[in-house]
Amino acid sequence: MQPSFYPMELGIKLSKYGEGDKVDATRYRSLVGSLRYLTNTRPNLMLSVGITSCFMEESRYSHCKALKQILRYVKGTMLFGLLFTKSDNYRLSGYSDSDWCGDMDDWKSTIGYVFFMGEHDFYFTLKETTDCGTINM
Amino acid sequence: MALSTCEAEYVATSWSVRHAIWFKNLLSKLEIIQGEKGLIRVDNRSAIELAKNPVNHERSRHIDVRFHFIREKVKKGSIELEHVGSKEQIADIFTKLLPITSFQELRKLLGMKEGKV
Repeated sequence: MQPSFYPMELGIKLSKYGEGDKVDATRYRSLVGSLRYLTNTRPNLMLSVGITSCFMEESRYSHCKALKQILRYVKGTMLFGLLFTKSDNYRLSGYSDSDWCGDMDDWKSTIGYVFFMGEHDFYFTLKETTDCGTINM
Repeated sequence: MALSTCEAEYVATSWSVRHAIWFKNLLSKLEIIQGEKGLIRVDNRSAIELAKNPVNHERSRHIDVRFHFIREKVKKGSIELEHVGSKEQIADIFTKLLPITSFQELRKLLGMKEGKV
């Protein structure tokens, strides 16, 4: 497998009614599940893993291709991770953002926020909005 | 479905404020911080304005009342909202697919570093 430097191609359009044949759903789901573990120390994978996990119900070749791209990215950035160093700064600060991120199936937007204590981030999350609130993605 | 970017950002801010308050209470209980303001950075000026000024106009009238609780928090001074340019908006990495250069830049800001073997 060729290593890659980005987890998901820019401008990719994925839909539930994706292209290509159906793939082995169990394998797809287990791969997404394993990648979820990695997001704990590699928050930069959150979005791409979140997007691929939307297609667990009926996964197709195009979704599988996107998933493989994440695996290639992980291979290319094996040594990357969050680094925590000693600090006396405990100021709580956060960043919040929302974007539509090309969701063609149900027009929901994605909410993401991250909290820092001093210089280090310690909590990050990604949600997808619904009419009556939000669900975790 | 949000009708405007401002609304989407406002709702996002509301969720993060909820979380920030929980963290703030937890951290003060653990005596790690004392009543300092929690700071939240948003990249949408109109969302910040909406949280600071209780005005209801065409574009915001429909927003669910429960999202307006950030106004109360901002007024009481427990949370502060600040505008941030899109280059420093770290949360972008969670919501957008980015060109490789900005992706790497934000990854760095997020505190991710390459380790040594």
